[in-house]
Amino acid sequence: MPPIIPPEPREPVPQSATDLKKFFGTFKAPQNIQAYGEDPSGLIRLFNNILRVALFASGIFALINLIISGIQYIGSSGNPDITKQASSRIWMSLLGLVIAASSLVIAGIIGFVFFGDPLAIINPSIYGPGS
Amino acid sequence: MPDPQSIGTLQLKQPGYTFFGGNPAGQVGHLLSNVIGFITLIAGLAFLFYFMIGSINWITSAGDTTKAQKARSTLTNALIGLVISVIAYPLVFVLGQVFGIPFTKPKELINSLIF
Repeated sequence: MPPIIPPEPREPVPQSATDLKKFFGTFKAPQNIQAYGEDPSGLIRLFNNILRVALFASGIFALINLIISGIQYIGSSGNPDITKQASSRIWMSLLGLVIAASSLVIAGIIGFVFFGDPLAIINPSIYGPGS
Repeated sequence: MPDPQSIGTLQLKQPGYTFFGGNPAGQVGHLLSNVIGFITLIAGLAFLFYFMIGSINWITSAGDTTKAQKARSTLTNALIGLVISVIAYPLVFVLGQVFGIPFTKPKELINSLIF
């Protein structure tokens, strides 16, 4: 009868947070985004950047859309379908641009009406354990 | 805890590449500027083309009212479209100034991001 080979001992499944940290090791943030990593307010900075880029992208997209709808209008040559399409595109671009540009103002007004402070939504104070 | 800092004015690694200027943030601005200028140029050329076509149609309508009406609407629509294309940029600029968001200066946005 061949001898029974005992199975190799496996690594214990990590249970607690310290075990998990030992299991995964520690990561270092990439070089150019240090301000997101080792600091609790990094997430806020990330959201700040995303919000700003989205706001600017909406403005530039609306500008390009307006110019293209002008070209559509030029090429319609009296065709009422294309004219209607182009004019609705113009109005929708303008409406979206106004909404995007005034979003911060609207947030300020809502914060003032409901919380008594214009910065209640734009610059919220976050409460958590330890602070 | 690192201080939040703007990335400031970036410099390209290869100093020889100065097609859009040496600053990558400026490159984005130049790229958008070129794209918008190109589309506006297309709008201008299309206006010229359709205005000519409309006027030739009007000349050759020879008293036919429906043809003349069609040529007339071609001309007016070409004019309206050109005005919209040209007014788009100042419109966005004014809206940005009113609401305090400089849409037309992406270079400032990129230089003010926090990393």
